[in-house]
Amino acid sequence: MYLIHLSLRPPPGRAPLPAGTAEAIAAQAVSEDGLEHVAVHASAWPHPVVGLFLRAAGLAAAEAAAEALWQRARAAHPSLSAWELTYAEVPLLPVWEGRVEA
Amino acid sequence: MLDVLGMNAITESVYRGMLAQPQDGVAELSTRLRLTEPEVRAALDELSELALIRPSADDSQRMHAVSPHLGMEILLARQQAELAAQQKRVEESRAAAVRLISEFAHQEPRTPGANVQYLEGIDVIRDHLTAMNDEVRDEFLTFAPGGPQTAANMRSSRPLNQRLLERGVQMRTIYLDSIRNDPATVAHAEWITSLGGQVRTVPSLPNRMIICDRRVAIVAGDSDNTGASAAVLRAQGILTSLTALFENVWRSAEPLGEAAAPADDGELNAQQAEALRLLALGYTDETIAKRLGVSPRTARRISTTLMTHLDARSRFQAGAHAAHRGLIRL
Repeated sequence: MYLIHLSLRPPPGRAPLPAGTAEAIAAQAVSEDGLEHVAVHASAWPHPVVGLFLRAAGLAAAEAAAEALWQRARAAHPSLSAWELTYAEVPLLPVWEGRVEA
Repeated sequence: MLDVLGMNAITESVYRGMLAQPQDGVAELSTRLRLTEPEVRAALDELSELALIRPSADDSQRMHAVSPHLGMEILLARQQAELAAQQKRVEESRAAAVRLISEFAHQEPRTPGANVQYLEGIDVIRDHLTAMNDEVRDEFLTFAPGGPQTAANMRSSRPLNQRLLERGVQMRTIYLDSIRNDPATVAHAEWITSLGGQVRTVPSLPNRMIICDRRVAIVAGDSDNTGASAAVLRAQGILTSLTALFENVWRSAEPLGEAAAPADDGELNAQQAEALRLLALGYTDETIAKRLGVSPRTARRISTTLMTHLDARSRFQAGAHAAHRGLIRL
């Protein structure tokens, strides 16, 4: 499974991420998306983040599937239409030099 | 062990399960790990949460993708990142506290009657001086004892001095004669002079002190440890007295660039005369060394030279001879 983070920029006025966002996304998933689980981090900084766990053949496929899934959910739900995707990618973490091979 | 890293046991087993079988989905993980589906989903939520931490742009750390093939290192790194962030927050709040204190300290004396205020610690003192420097309009007078100045002191005072002098503030600084033996301090003093400041030296100074516009003075709380604490004084009567003291010492001081007054044959130079005066007051070599801004060894050498000069074999005899020749007033 790949974990893809979608960072969502709110519409002007800094509205909270609509309740039911996870369900709205899950409802749009088809079996080709390989969606296994949706995690919502509504108070992430600077913007809310949605984590998608997807089964995919590779990283690029997982990211593409996640983004397409988001666009379908956004089109289908007016409450999400004003939210803008700033990135859809496997999350990155800081790793101290020397720790990687530890 | 992973629990220590902020991950609970179930999340850990799900994470390990993902690492072992990257192709598994929620149902497979649940079966293989003998967990309920909600447990697996809660673990995935937590894993996603753990991946939220992003380094700030100015961090020079390497970035790595969180994907199933990355192991424990990332969790360790995450904890280190939290630690670093925590440390940064502590440092930021400390800096904010210092700023706040200095701002508060800066304003408090404007309330009537608050003519004396105490500053603790070299950082607070330096902050206060920085704030004070912005207020100076006409005149900045300094007693700078302690002999050769520390590199840190000179470094921190440089931009302040430059700003003052460029604003046309009259700056007069009195150092100890002993700085003339320290090339770095002399260079600093000459730099001040080149910008229009005036620098003089004397054999000894009572304490570290700065007077601004004859309106406010900062005086070290302990003349033996002038960085530890300071008093900010704004009472007009005290300022008048301190300024008079400064002017007196200034008159007797030697401009930098001129050699310290050479001793004529049979006469003591200024440093020796001061050492003699301090000896007569009962000061020890160590205290005299501090006052003159020289090492204890140099202070002993000055005493020895004095004894030779006075043709004395003991300190008692030196005192007697000095009194006899009228070199000290008893």
